[in-house]
Amino acid sequence: MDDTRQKLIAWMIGDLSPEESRPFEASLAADADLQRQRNQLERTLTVVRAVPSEDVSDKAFARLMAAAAHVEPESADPAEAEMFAVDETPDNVIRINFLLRTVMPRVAAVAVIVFIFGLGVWITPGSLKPTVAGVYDDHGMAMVVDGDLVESRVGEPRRLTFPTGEVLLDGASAVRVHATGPFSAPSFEVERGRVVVTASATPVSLNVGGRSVQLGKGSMLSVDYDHAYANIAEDGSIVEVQRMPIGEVAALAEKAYNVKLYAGGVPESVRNTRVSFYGSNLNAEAFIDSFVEAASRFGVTIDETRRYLSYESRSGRVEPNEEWKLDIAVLQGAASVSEEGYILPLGGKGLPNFVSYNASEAGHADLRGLGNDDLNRQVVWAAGATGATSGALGERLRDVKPSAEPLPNGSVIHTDSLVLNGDGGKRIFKLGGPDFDFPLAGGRRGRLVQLTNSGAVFEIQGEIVREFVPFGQPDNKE
Amino acid sequence: MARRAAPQQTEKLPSPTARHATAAELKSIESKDPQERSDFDLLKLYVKKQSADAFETLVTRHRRQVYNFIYKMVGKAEAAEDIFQETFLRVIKNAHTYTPRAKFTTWCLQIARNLSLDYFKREGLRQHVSIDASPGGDDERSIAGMLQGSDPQSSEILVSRELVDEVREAVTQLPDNQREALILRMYDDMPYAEIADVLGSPEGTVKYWVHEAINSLARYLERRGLK
Repeated sequence: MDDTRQKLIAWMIGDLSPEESRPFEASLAADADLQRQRNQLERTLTVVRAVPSEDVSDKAFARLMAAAAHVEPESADPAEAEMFAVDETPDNVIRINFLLRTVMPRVAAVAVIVFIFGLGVWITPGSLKPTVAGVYDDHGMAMVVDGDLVESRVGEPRRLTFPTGEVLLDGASAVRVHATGPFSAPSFEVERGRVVVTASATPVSLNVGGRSVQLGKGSMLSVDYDHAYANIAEDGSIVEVQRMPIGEVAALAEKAYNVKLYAGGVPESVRNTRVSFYGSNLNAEAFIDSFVEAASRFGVTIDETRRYLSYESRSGRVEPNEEWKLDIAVLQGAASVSEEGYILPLGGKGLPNFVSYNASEAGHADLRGLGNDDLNRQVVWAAGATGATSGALGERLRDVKPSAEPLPNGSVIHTDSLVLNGDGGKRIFKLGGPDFDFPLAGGRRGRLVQLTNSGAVFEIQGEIVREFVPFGQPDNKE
Repeated sequence: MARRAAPQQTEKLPSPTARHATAAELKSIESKDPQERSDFDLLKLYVKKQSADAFETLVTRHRRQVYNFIYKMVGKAEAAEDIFQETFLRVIKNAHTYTPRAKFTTWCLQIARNLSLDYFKREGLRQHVSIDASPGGDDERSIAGMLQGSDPQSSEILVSRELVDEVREAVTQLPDNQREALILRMYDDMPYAEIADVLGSPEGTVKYWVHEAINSLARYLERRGLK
């Protein structure tokens, strides 16, 4: 391999210092053959990086644990042991057989679980399954077993935790949990809505919209799966209307509230236009208000009797009218998306971290870096923490005011601007504006490029360095 | 008669190992959140209190990295699982020799690496079929055919499983040192300094191996139709 090619490879994988890179980049710009080599190497690196990370099977893991129970550490060299004068504390003196020490606590734990759940098993025979996760919200905690569907309501984000990571659900989202084995992280089926998945200690896999997503250890991913869906409780306590055709929403009003809405005055093309709106504790009139407000963007009006819908032609931007849309963004680390035998690596070095699919271009993946607009549209992670939650999200999808109202800890929000709060509702950052431009220490300003569970990463204007600002550092602007 | 100089009396004490943990240390470790415990903490709990939970946590924490390294080294799931098991059993047996001067991952990967190389020796498998000598695109299905709907000018390509298998196989054909360095750098994102520790070679040499490995793979894929 000649020096130039080796330098090219070193440059491409970030092994050259800035001082070495500059002259090399100048020569690269002037050398067509070198550019061709670069293009080919770029594709090679993409393919090489696409080879997925492998994990040991649960069976092999269990086999190791079983074998480990019969192996003891070899004793240390006696002279060395004496040198350190190893203390023999009572718990060492009263030695319990290794097997007993490992088995007994488990037997005891099983006994306790059987005792606690015994009644439930008796009432619903055959339903005993191990708990694989817990779900937290303002009302407390609930245990989750294999096959459970975890749903979140509007304005009530929920946090689903498991030993090696967590899934945050924005309002109107649903995730089904599957336990893949006693030693593995559960896998998830995102049925709808916006979720942020964090794989802290092990990789995590999920399915969404017919695609399989593998999230690497230490990675964080947001999924926004927006598809036609309606859920209206009989008493109006829950109203979730998402991407539903206007004509069908009118029919839903009759079904849910026994209120007949006549949509004959609306052209068919407009009746087929999809709208989304959400609410809670809506009576019939409040439901009609929300519906008409959502549909008015497309020229739909309602008469004084509030029963007859009509249409006023209007000019303006044509809104997308797809049945579904799926956005997947890697906020941290790397992931891969598999679809019909093809693997799309995301978030690695030099790879795009955002992919968007939609119904009108099924099979097409819009692949790019996650820019400001996309970040705006994506579910983002707000200061993750445990503990009791208080306050409210405010008007979702709108400006969340920097009020005294704290955001719930660990909340997921989806808005044009947001306020992050840490424990105790302490205000940390106010995000806003099209560039996510923020005041930082030393009078500098930085562009937010990433939110993580422990802090925010900013890109300082004019500098290529990234600055990590841990949560807890107050915004010094206001 | 001249007296001979007394030999140097001061001796450097070896670093304490997990076996030297005191009761107070163990108590302090046990009071920590399990996720906050360091690898060395877990080893101490295992060695001194024979905590199976601590060992399980330790393995869970590193299973993917260790297995991924082994699997990419040997290219066979069954062999990789056996080596994975043996690696952690050796960790148990030799826990008393580990000192935190080296990262636990480094130590564990060194064990995994040695066992992988032993496997090749034992099985007589390392035939060193250079991927430079592998057949080109004429007599096998071209890689171009495995890239669906890709614009040749675009770096955004969809990679088929078939191609992934092809690349995985090509990686196993690289010379040992290049393969090890490439796996740790490209798939584990390990800093060169740590790779140098695992492989026991200077950083500069490790870099060279990584560059050589990428070059070999690029040449191979180019011959197979990836333009």
